[in-house]
Amino acid sequence: MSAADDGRMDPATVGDLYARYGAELQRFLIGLLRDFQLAADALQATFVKLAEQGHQSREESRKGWLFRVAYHEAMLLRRRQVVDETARRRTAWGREAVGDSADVGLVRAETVERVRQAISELPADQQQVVRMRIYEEKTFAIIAAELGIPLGTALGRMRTAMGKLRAKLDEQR
Amino acid sequence: MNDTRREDLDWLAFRYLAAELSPAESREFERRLEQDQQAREAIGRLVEVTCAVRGLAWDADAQVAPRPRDAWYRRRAVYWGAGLALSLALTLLLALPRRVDPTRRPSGSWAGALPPAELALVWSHARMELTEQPEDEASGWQWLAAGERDADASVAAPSASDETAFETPEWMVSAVLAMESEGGDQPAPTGNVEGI
Repeated sequence: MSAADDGRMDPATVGDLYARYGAELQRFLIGLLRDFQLAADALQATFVKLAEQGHQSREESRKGWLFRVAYHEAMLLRRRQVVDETARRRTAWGREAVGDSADVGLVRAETVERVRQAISELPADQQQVVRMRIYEEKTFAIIAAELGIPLGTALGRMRTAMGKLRAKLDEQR
Repeated sequence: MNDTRREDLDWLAFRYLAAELSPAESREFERRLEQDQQAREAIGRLVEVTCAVRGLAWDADAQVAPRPRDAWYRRRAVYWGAGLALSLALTLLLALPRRVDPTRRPSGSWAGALPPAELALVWSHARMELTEQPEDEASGWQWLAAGERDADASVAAPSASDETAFETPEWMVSAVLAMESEGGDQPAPTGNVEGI
């Protein structure tokens, strides 16, 4: 346990933890809040809490502790009704939620390259559904209509594709 | 966590991020997020993946670049084809003299054994086989018909033909359709949702 004399966590330790988990927590918070600025606020509040109370947490479970605190900070913003219903109906990857994710450092260039490679290995029909759902932000019903396939097939292709992308990224980690 | 449970979790997380869960399902998943670290990490991971997908240069390159090994794979097929054509031509060269003139005395000369017209035909056929393949290869991985491309993809990734691997249950299809028509910005189409 790293605690400074005044009962707060050592700033260097806070800095290390931010370097290790900051980006991951930020993505988690964007997933919850669908708003880049609010996610940044919740992330800041999380690390303030870490500095103030983190020394009470066990080192081996600190990652889980940080995520739990981040979750509660996000829910607090929700309860204050800072997050309206419209925001909750957004996709987590849309421009309104994350802005230009490349510019804000949410996704590293090497991750984009890995994803590009993994997508290029998908069959064309799965690539198409991924593109239409995530890049073009079309609903599955629209996708099914445009491709002339049943909705269940569009969902199946997306699920299969996401599973493969995740597996590919996992094996490269 | 086994693979199936992890896939289920990832799919649930994806639907949450895509705003395709009903309000009740969303609340239930958010309650789970309070305790379940794997679910929290799934959210973070999928935000990264989806943002990366969105960051790809789809406009500049409609279908992201093909696998490098495709070229190698197809080049090997071309070599096999060319070799087969050459073998066929040689077999014909060996077989035809006896068939054309079984009473002919051996002269020790191949040229004298085969009539020029038949030789020309065999060579023409072999050359056609050899020259057509590189032209196809020059057009890269797109030279295969769509159906063949899919078949090849399934060779590269054993589970590629598996849109049936995840049989989308009817309740999920209905739920997605309901969610999309209820809260989406885009109008849900009225047709072409057969199979629901």
